[in-house]
Amino acid sequence: MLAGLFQYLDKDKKMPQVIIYTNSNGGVSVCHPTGELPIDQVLTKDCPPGAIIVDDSELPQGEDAKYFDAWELVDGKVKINLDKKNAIILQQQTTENAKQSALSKLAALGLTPAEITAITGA
Amino acid sequence: MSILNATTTSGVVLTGDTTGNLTIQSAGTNVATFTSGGLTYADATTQSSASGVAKAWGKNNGGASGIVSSYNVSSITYNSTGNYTVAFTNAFSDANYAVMSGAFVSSASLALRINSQSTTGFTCETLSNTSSDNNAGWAFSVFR
Repeated sequence: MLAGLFQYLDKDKKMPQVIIYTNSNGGVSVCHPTGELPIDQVLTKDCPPGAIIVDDSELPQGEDAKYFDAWELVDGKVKINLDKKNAIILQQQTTENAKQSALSKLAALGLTPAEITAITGA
Repeated sequence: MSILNATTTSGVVLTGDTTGNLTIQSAGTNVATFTSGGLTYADATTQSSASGVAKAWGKNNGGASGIVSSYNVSSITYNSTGNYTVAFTNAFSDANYAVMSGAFVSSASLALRINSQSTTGFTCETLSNTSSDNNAGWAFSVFR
């Protein structure tokens, strides 16, 4: 009942909107209007032909939001490209493994943690 | 609102009231207003021709989370991790403006690089040796 009341009270409240389009890299660009100009004007002034206005809530949320570089615009909806997502995860793991390997090698040389931090900043 | 108007026929004309605010006019057109809160230019076009003041500024949360506040900015577009396009509401006459910027992150190794400038906006990129910081919040101001 309370949910219905809040829904009634919020019926005139507009959802935040953004403009999305496929960029030159094949990914999705998300254009946030500041409100200085109407969103329709931003659409024509700041975005390429084919860009569309969507509610901010339609964009991937939660865990999927972390993999922005894997977003793709398909039939007006943002989807996660699983191949790109897996490539991002693999790259992150590779980078982390390389970092841990380098730190281990520095430790094996007898450097103290403080000395390693002084060199790497990590 | 008291008005101090530099006219082309009668010189300076003062129209007074008791609001405590003072508007400066040039030939009947508002240029700027002084209130207890400070100086406000009549519009972005007027401010863009003034010297010594920021012609645009903005603060962004980073990533796809959007803009916190801004002036003379119509949009900020998130293109890929750490990569943004800023569009001005009112374009400049040329691209010879200076962008001052910084990022909000505890890491000392994060920088905001300006990749390109045009009359209508600029592109920039947050760079860090820690990938988790690449979507840090950032802010900028533009002077010309």
